[in-house]
Amino acid sequence: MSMAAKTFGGQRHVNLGFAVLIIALYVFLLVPVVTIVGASLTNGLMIEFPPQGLSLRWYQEFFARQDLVDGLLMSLRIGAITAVVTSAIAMMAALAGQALSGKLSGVFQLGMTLPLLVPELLTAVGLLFFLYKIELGKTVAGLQFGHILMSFPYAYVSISAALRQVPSSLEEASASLGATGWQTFRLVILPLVMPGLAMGAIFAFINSFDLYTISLLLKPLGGNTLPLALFDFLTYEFKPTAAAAATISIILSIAGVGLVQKLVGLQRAF
Amino acid sequence: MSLTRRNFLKTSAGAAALGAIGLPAFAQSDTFIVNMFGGRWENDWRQYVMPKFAEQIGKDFDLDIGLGMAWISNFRAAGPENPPFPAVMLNEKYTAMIRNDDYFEELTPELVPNMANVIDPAVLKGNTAVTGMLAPLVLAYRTDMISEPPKGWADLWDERFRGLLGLYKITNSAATMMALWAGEHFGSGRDDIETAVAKFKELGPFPQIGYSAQLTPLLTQGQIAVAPIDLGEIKAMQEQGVPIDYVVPEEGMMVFDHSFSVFKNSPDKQLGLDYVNFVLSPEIQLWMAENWLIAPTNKTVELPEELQKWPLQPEVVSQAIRFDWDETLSIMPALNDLWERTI
Repeated sequence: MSMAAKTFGGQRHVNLGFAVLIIALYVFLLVPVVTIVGASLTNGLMIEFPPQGLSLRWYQEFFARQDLVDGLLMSLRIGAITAVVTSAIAMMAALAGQALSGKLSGVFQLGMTLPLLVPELLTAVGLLFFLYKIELGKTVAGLQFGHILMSFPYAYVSISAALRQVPSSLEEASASLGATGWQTFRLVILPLVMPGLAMGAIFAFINSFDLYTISLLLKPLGGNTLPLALFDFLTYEFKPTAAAAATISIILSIAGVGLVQKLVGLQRAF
Repeated sequence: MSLTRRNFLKTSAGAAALGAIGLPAFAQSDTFIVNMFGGRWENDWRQYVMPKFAEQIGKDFDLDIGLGMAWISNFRAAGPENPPFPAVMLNEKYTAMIRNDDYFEELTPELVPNMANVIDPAVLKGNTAVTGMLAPLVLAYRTDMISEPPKGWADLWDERFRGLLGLYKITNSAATMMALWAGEHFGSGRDDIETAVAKFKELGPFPQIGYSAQLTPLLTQGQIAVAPIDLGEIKAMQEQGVPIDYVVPEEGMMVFDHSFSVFKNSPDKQLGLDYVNFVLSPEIQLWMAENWLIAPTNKTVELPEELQKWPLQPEVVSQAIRFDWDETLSIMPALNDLWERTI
């Protein structure tokens, strides 16, 4: 057998191995999703896979449960505000970060991602005491504040990455043509970073929608987010209603990604 | 309307503005708020119990849903001078954590008239709390899988149950109580955690579950055949046709004490006292017995015939094995650590 044929055969084995690895990775990532979606469609009384018969009864039960629906609505509201506010703040921070240089820039970048580096529980406990000091303990505003804080780094990383792709010469050209700083931002920079901004907003929303620990400590009197309501539900009633709720969350996440695709295209967002 | 970037930005900005405007609407200072567990507890309390109390006091109500440690973290952050709500329901394990920190009003029959009728064990240390929801912990077994049922806690170590047991995680107070009991039964005392943990290691491997409702699917599906569990879960399984029965352990059953306290510095302290009195009233105690199989702590409650078969009677629950949670809390860190490293 010639050397070329051996090499070609070796390459085929590598490709095959790589394909198996990729398939295994997809299976690893998707099996929990398929399992939970399947379990939500069971006609039986237990969370189980494969489902016993097919039924939408647990979705009906989900929407009949005021505590879970209230949790869903609160999560959607908190998530939406988090996405909008976080994107705006992260945009400003990214612009500030770009204006810095040298060591200061590195310190700034690190500072902006600190909420990711500090354990969520420690951030939550610190924030809890702080919020009571400023009389925002157990309020929606306090919870919102916590979610914005925890979601900020995701938006910041996405937006600053998009901003780095914008050539500085465009800003200079815009200024030389007489545009003000605001006009340059609105008409030149913003359209170019829009994919990163949209992706950052979606990341912030999804992160907010999933936050558990910080919500557990900061949640307002009389209010619950969906993850908390689900945990309470599973603590006391281990029924497939929880799988239905999880499936609804998955659908919302997919809808978020679909929104990015519709607005800016996923290829441009990454 | 087509979805464009401009529309998206406009809509987002609108949502943010609406959200910001809506924030003050969440403040509910004129609402009476107390805490409760989630799931069916919340639904039932919200639907059947609280409306009666709201009518009694002429105020709207809301519930703060959660779990012990999160409530305790909030009370500590708020401090004794600034409690988030006037009265609180906690597992006795959590009440003990802040009992000595000057949070609670001393409860007396003068302040809470229905306390005059509660069983003695329901009045907890220093009169800081009174048990309003007492959930008996018994031994459940699958009648189709177990030919000779266990008689007591010690039977869990019988060879015939090997591989058929389900138990609680050590973070659940049921596991803590069982470990303390094992230390006393097999070792030198309740603080003999080495003996207790070694004895539970003998039972392994067994599934360790965080909460009672998570043991239920394992029993229902026959993955385990014997487990300590509270009565409400047994009744629910029987109603679903699961072949299951229970025994009150001969050494005595254990109980989950869900106790009620009043924050002494709450501006609504009197409403808090009224609420505890309401929970201890025969009407609510009976309602909990009928709907949740919670044992009434009010001695004047007359259990209907259909409930007589359950161990809910005051004289029965008064005999339950009790634990001093102040002492238990001092043992728990070492116990939990040893348990987690060993089992």
